[in-house]
Amino acid sequence: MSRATPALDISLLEPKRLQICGALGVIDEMEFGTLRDLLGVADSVLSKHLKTLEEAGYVSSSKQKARETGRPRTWVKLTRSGRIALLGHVAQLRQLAQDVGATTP
Amino acid sequence: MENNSGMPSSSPGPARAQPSAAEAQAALDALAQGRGALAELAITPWWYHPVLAGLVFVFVVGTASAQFWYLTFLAYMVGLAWLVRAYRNLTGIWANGWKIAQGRMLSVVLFAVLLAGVLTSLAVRRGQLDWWWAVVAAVVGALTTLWVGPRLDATLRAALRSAT
Repeated sequence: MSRATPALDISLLEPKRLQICGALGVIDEMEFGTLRDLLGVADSVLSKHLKTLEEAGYVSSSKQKARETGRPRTWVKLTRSGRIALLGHVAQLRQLAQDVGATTP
Repeated sequence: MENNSGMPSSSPGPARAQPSAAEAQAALDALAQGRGALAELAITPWWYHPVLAGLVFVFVVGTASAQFWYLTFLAYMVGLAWLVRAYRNLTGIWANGWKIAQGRMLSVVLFAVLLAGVLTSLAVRRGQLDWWWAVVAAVVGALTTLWVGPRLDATLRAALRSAT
């Protein structure tokens, strides 16, 4: 029996972007600095990933002023379409990964 | 755009590249690892639930007062807003537990107990019950908050660790 070719989302093929959506998939919101530390990347790298995901409509961000410092902090959340894309992408990855078991002796 | 993955990176749309089975497994492993690290961040400060329980006590017992109920309600709302803000600033994350099935169940239990407590206090305000019923309802509400809160945290962390 032939298996249909999985349709992966190209925005989520980049591991860091998949990790961003994966983290936001369980919680509601995450602050930019926390997300940066979690991924272990520079601000500029995270900004570029978030820009790509925002353009895809997968995440949204908002700025909230921190009372202590008065500086705005950026909070990121997964959108509904981002959640759908994540679930579909992970399901396809699982399907692909099953081939490891099928081909490994 | 930078690409440190070895995989293609461009605008969203249908996939044009297909990772191998090993790459797919590696992506799933990285996803699980990231969520596991996130679980370590989702540690609620020790004072969070006691303060929340205190606010619940003030709110429920205050509802029984015909003269001061609005003051205790205001104190509850202001305290809640401060608590949420403090949690977000300290942890850098916000999760309400509603996305997780067991979290939803715990939240419903807490809501039901608080609703029962408020209704009891309203009955006290109307003179249908003695004043000490409001204290009992407030204590039950506060204890339930103390019981549910850490379990909600544990549920969230377990969901983060197990999700892929």
